Amino acid sequence: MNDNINIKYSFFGLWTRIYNLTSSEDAASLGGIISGYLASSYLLVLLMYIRGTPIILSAAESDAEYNIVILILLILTTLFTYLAHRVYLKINLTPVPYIFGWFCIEMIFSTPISSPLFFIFFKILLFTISINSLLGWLNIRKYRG
Amino acid sequence: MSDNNKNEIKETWIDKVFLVLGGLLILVIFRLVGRAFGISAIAGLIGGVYVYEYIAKTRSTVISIIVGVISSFMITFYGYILFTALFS
Repeated sequence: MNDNINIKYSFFGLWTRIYNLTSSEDAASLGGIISGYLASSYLLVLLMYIRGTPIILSAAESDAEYNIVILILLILTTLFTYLAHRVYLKINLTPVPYIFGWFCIEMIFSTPISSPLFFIFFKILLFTISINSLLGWLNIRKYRG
Repeated sequence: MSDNNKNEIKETWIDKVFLVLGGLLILVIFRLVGRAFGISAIAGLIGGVYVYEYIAKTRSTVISIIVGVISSFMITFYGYILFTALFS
């Protein structure tokens, strides 16, 4: 068992192995990458909405609706950018399960409108990383006792 | 020879040739795909490489490549949207 303890990654580096507290913190901090992806996807939706060619959302029928949608998208982008910074630099790893749940919901809803070859391929890879980060978060509690 | 002199970068004629070829390549890209997409694509390539190098300091190569490619694509797309929204 201890022979493999120096191997940090498996599956060609895609999966971070979890065997002690440091490695589980490393795995959990991968949630920062997922959070960064969520922030950039909300920024994309925001920019397309401002440009006048909205994706996912329908065009606004009034000024109030337009402003509220932009406000919500700005809040989401800021929130996930902030969480990405905190989680990736291991300042606070508490939001990892929250990011995982949000990413699952976002993936389910956005997959039917995504480009099948490029985005679904990368989303499966990102989903693998997010499962790894959730397992890392769960193992932090285990190793801290 | 001191250590400082060892690290000094000397510009040779090969570097100048590559500089000219790079400039011509940028002009060809701009001619083929347009100014907005050309600038965005070059910014995306440079940004993707920077993100890859930053992630690769602490993470595995595969994860760094995934993040680098996605961020390169995102920067290109955002740049194109911004350019077309601002200058058209």
